[in-house]
Amino acid sequence: MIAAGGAWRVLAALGVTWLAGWALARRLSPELTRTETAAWSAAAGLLLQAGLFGLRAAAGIDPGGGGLLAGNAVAIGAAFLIPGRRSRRSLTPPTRPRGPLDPMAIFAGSVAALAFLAFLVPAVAEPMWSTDFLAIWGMKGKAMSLAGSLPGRIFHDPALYWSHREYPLLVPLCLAAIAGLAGGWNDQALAILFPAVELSTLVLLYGFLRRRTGSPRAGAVAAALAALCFPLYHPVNAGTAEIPFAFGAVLAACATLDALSGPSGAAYGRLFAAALFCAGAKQEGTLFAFLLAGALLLASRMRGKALALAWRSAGVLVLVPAMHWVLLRALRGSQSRRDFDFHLFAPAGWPELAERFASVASRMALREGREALVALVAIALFLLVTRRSLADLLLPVLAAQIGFYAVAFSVSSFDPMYAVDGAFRRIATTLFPALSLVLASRLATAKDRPAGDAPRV
Amino acid sequence: MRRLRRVLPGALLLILGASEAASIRGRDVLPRARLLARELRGGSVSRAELARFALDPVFGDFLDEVARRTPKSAAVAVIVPPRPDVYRYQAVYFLAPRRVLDSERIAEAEFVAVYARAMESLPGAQPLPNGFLSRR
Repeated sequence: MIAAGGAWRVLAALGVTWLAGWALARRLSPELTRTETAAWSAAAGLLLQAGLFGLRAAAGIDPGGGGLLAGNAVAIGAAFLIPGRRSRRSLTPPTRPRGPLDPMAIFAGSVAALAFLAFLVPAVAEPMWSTDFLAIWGMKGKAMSLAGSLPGRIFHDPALYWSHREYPLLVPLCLAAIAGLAGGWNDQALAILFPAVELSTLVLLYGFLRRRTGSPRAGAVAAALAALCFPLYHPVNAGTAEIPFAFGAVLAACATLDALSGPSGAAYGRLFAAALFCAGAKQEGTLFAFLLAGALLLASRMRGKALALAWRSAGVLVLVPAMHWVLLRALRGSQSRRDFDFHLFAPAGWPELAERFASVASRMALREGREALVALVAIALFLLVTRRSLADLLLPVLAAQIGFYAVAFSVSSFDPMYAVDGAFRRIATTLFPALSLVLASRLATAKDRPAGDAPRV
Repeated sequence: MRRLRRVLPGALLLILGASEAASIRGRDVLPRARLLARELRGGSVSRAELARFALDPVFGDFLDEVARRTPKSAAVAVIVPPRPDVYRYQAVYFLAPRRVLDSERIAEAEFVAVYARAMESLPGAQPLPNGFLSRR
């Protein structure tokens, strides 16, 4: 099936996506390395495809391959023709690796490449098959692709009550748009999207840390640690929103750290794109963007010019997901959240909520924590023996995100233990690439660091 | 002590990486690598080899027949075993863009497809692999 031309057509569609994204992203990346620009191009391209498909479908124009290609051509033309202001100076100039290549960086890069192959091969070997793909992401994408529209029944048909109609649509829209560009729905060839997103994540981690720490080793180690997260980069997640959200979290983390270091129009543009990517991928993405906004405000120590700058960045991180939610609600109407029992937040529910939270926390610690004990101890010791780094701002954000997951499981409409066992590991591992950014950034030594880019947090 | 401090962070990351690497399962990679290699050589892959129908390979044949015999604009009630849920999800996914309904909404359907059910066939129903299809 994949050898019958479908893969080449999807690769060509991804090439168009990347090219259109590059035309847009070059405005956002004057100070970035080429590897970072490549990753931001992928993100911008996917947002563009989803937007084009959604806009054309909402306007009643069949978003077939020809229309999408024309839309991409217009976007590329506009990106080159409309005059824009380029950043006058690089706030965090790219640094060139000094001297011969570091053997540790070569080793880590090789590990990352092998781990990437260990996901790529099984992900594309057969049509996407996971339950979440069939019931949620793939079902919606296929319905959009075949209908050439946003069929109202994916939001309103009572027969589809189980398909999480409240979920955001970036992944189904991307699948439908790429299928349109590739000439048809091929659920094996379309799986290539997910290793491509993984590759973008690894490349972004490498490029960001190489630029900000001056250490290719730190970048390569971050990519290796992220790629080795096999519970995330597992064939079961080809076709779901986990891998795109992990990419969105790294995009948002990098954009936030850049905005903290030196705000610029391009940095705000990247924050905008990253916040939209996060919110569009998963509901947790909105939470992640909000938590980053809170961390930015706290990092400013609520004083002076730093606070004013933090407000701007935090405003982007809050307003973009909020606008996305308004748009999604206008599209799908009000949807009941059958997964959660919010009555537990009322004062009468507090005793039960506390009891549930204790059960959930102990389940997470005793079951999931025990299975990952070696990794957790290694991370804790590593944080103890290394110095603070530019990415430490992310640590409380990641911890708070896990804390919110515990709260969400506690108000589950179903058995909270069932929710923890079924979902916690899957959603927690989406944060690991962002954590690997923190860990690897601590590897960079002071001599690696570019002048004028001392850690601020 | 200074040497330990220099070596320890790298060693801890190696331990972390090794513990991550240990989580990979050969059965997730190797059989699929062989499957992909066979496909790239032009070999055929049977439905029973695919993870999506690991639960019940015959169900795919049933859905193929339902798709072949119903128009894409039809509303089709597909009666499947209530557990596991994946029967319902597969029916909705594979029969798209048809509107797929469950047993509670038969009244809205133009066709009723029944799978693996020891029930009397409706008058005029067409036999399918492990089931039957009737027009309402």
